[in-house]
Amino acid sequence: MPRDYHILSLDDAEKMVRAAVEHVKAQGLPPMAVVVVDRAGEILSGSRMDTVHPRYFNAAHRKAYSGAIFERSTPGMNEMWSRQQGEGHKGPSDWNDSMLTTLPGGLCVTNDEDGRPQVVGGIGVAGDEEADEVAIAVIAVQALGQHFHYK
Amino acid sequence: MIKQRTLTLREALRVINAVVDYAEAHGHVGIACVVLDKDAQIIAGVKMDGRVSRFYKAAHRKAYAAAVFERDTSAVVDLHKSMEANGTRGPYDWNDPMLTTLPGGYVVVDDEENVLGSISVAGGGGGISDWEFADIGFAALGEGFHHRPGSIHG
Repeated sequence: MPRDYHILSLDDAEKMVRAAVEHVKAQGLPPMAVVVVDRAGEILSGSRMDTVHPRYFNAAHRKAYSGAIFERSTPGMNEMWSRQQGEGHKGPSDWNDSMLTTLPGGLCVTNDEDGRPQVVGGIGVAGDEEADEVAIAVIAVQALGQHFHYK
Repeated sequence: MIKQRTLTLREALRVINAVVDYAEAHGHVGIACVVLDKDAQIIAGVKMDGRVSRFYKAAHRKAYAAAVFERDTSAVVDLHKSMEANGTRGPYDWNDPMLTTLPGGYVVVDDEENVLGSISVAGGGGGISDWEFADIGFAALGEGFHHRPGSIHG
């Protein structure tokens, strides 16, 4: 029998992007780019706020992709990289995937409605370094409700 | 959230074992067979002893094209023709180096028209074509599945 699984819907993704953008505006933070991807790392929704350079959108996509594909936050990838280097490997660099990044602001999004957390997508936030990209990504995940979590 | 459906490892192995068994039973020189999931990622793939790697790479690209375009590679040929007739350059305009129209890539669809993944075979010939092998592999999935062939065989 084929296997069923869940991914973020467009409604979920748009809710996350909206929550992040509204938080940035309400707090008067520097403008951001926000990207939400599905479990395969493909874009579901993304926004680049006015005046934000396109490189931040690209960075947000890569952060979201890395979070979803490696099933951990981008700083978590850094920890993995350090551990693997200690074992003589080159960590994520050895995957030779040009989309991977360890820049902070990428989270893996999970859902536990089926009992145990399942990866359903990823989110990436990028912008001026004065703002807390991770905190904004967390707010976006929390906008989805109690069954959604992040790694 | 939305629910998606994909082929499983067990199903992929059924396809691969059927194709490999068929090749061995008929004294074929050997094939490569690849099965992808709904996201066009490899679930399982094999290259029989003695065959060079280009066959595995071709099988991967066939399965990828079938999964991503949600039709058999033979039907991607039709798409290409219809798009060219409309003045575009067909699948080439996607600029995706993984795409191919080589025969033997089948999309796997269930009775509710959900695309579940794809299967493919490369290295056929010598009396057994890629699509004949692909037909054998597809049949191993059992009831409740169909693919989307084009106007040419394979």
